[in-house]
Amino acid sequence: MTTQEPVKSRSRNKPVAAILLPWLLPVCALGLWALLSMGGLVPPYLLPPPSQVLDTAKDYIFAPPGSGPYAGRFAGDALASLGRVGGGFALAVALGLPLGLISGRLRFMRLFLDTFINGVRAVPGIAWLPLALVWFGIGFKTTVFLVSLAAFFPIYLGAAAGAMQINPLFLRAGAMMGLGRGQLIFSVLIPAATPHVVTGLRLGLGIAFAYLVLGELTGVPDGLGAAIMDARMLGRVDIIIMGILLIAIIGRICDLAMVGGLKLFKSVRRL
Amino acid sequence: MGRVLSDMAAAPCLKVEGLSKRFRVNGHHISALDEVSFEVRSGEVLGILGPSGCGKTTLLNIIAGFMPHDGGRVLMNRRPVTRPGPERGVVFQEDALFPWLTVAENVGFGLRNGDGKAGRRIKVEHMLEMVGLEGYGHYLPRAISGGMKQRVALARVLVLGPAALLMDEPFAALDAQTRADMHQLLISLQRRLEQTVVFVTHDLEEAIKLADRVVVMQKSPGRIRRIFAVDLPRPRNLDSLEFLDLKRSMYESLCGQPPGDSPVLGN
Repeated sequence: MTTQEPVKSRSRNKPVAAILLPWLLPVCALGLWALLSMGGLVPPYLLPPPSQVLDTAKDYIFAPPGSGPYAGRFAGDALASLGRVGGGFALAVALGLPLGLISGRLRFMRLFLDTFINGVRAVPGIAWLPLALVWFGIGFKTTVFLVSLAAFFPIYLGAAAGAMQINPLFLRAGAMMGLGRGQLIFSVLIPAATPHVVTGLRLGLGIAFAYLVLGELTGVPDGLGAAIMDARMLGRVDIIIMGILLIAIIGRICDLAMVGGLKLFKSVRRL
Repeated sequence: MGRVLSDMAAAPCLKVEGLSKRFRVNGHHISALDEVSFEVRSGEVLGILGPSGCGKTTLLNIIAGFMPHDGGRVLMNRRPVTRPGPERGVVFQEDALFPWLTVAENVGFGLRNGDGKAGRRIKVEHMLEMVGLEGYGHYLPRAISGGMKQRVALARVLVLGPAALLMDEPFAALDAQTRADMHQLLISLQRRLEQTVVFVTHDLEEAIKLADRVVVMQKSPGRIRRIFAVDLPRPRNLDSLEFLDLKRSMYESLCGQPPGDSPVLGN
């Protein structure tokens, strides 16, 4: 009886709480920002008020290109950035997922890969930047390299942990019901490893955005990171803040889209 | 014709010959199974009874094809067993249903190719009805009880029409009432399907209640001590004199002493 009550009330409150709670912190942050900038506590050249950033964003997103230094650049910058994130992330998934699953299941592969991969992982991504610039020059290739390198590790580790921790009886059960090796991988191993795999993918996508900006800070002509860096040279703090907010929003939308897309799989919906 | 059929029914479906298995533990070789031989006839229910550590689960794992062995061989319908396969369906001791699949999807899991979608659905529904789970097809495993999970585990292998059903203490984790229900279900399914069954247990009563013959094992090294035939009419009365006599002699064989001297075993 006592355990039933809280469960019941929680489920009754859920709709309202579920709608409001995610926005509470962003709204508080916005309030604090408005208070600091408009109350004169911080000068506008360091922290422009939200209204100014909003105007800048309108201009950046909707104004016809050419009518100002940043007017109408959003679509081009966003597409360029998404292309780099998408390319790098896809590469990281293509390598990290299979290697992780293999090293999670096969001891000799784990022994073979782990020292090397964890050694490379210990190197901060930014340390690769000079080398990437030498190898790939400024632009798409360097950014994709940095993004895929950074996103690889959480994806690999998630897949390895997922594969390692599955109930070994699942594989026996699958084999006992007549599945071959390949079928076992797709019908048992991957679904059973799903929760860890999804965590790895989400962490990977998050870090992909972080390294996107790093890659774009190096002087590429387009992209959200490039817009931020240009703005610093021009002293346009409003553009910097707007860029940060746009990256946050786009990153969150990409995360939601990926999780939503993954929900096409039963194992993601049900585990 | 009739003679041929009856010969086939009596033919050994599963044959274990001189089976040996050693494990290395801390540099020592431990003989888990030592020269174990027996036969299971088609349609027979064979119980394997023994104290923990006697190698009975190892034995079942080798028959299932999950584990390699060191000596001897296992023949299933005259063919040596080398790997797991649907002709030897296994019900595990603990819940091994796929939690991302519904009850119906779990039962239909092994019915991958052939039959067509509609054919598979009919088979699954029929099987769910046989194990008393009609109407539960769309539930996820986490939403059903332990006893129901074992019913699903039974259904997902029986639907494949296995030549032998292998069970590793399948009811050990259930409460007494549920276990008794599962015994009844197993007995009725076994009769209906004339299913060959090999099950492992450490529970004397369960062994005598279900089995046509009981292999009693000893530990270190894991060997067969004696094979008992249970010639009691079904349904078996757990309080009958014959039942208690058999239980007593099986107990003596298991522990090497009459009941009462040792506090454990037998429930």
